[in-house]
Amino acid sequence: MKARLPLTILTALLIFAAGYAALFIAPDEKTMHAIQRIFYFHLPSWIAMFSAFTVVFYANVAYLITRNRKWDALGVSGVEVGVMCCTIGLITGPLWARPVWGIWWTWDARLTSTFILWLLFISYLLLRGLIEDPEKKASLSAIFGIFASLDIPLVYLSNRLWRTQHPQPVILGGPNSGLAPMIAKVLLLCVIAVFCVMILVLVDRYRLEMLRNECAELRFKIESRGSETGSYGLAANQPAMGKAGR
Amino acid sequence: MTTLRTAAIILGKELRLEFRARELLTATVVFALVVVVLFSFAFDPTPAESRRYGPGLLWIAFLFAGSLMLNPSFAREQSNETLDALRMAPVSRFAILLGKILANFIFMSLAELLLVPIFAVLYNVSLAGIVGRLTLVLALGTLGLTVTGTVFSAISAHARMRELLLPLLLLPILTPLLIAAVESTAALFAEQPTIDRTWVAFLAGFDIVFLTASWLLCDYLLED
Repeated sequence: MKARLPLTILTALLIFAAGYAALFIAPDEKTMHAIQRIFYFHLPSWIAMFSAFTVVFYANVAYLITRNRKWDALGVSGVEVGVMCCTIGLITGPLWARPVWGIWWTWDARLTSTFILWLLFISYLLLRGLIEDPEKKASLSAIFGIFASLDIPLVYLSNRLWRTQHPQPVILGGPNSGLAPMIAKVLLLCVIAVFCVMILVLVDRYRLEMLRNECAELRFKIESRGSETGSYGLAANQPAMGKAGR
Repeated sequence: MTTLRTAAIILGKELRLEFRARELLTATVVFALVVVVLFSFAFDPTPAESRRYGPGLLWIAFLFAGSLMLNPSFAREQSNETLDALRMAPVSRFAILLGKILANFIFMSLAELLLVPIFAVLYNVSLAGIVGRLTLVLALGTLGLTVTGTVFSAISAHARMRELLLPLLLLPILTPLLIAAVESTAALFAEQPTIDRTWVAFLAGFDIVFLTASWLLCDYLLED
């Protein structure tokens, strides 16, 4: 809690440094020139997205096993942050593709897979909005989240078998791949910066969700007490109901 | 063994329910037929084009019809709280789910049995010589559709606007199945019909993955 302000400032500095490095320090790319610089935010947003959805899968499984509401809060936070990163990736991609490929969008394996991924987790959020009972909401959305996560490799594999146009992996992609050293350094800085932003937003969103849960439980407690005795007293020294208070 | 026997009892109950009312199957077939007919108005395909687009159209019609048909599977247990009665029975949750999956598989297969010949006539596709292989592809695709669809029907039954929600949950998940089913059907509708082993194996893999996942998660899915 105390570390929050310094960490926020640190992340802000990092993302500014990353922006500066990507725009001014990184060398001009041979064929694509300035437009290539969007790559410094395109790739990091995908890495952040995959990290967020990995957290989601873990949180969904952990919720079903432990029934601790904190995993549900982590799951929904991860989905929202992941969808945000995915949206950034889906917007920066076409911005780059238009001048380089000559088209905004193509139904290529990776593009299609991430678009489906985005749709799947938008459906996850819709599903949560449409279930009233908090227990049901948590367990059913966890089940859907697990199904969606299982589907992603299948979506990718099917599209890969079908057709692909996205540039082959430049990093670790074979003998002629690889990045110029300066580009690699700037890219690493950008990956770390975007990742830190993702974590920061994720943690804040998680705390918000926990506070919401606590509020809902306290409100429920007050209402049930009010209906029993007619008074609205709330014992201050009593711990909050459930696990949210911890 | 007891799981299978219980699943068979649930299956019997679902079939009895459906064949007394006969509303689900009729509506599904008519809906899919409407999609098939509308498609011919929208694209006015030549014989070559219908060979090219036919498999995709056929599977889109099945997926849309399935996403509507699977909705009542759990939703109609909701109105009289009959799902609670099922849960109270001392049987495994997977048996209940499996019975419903099998029932939906049978309904969907019956709908396809009626639709495929009509489709073949309307779009000039010859089914001679490929019936066996087409049945395999249809069965694998339909199994994947009904496994995921039945599970999601149990999920959406607890939500508001469930009729709209189920297609939203189901159709994106089914994209790999759609690609594999369309590709393997297209290989069968080609001038020289062949069975595309890669895509058929992919369909089988899809079925195995989601059947296993439903088996692992059914206790959470059908809890009180």
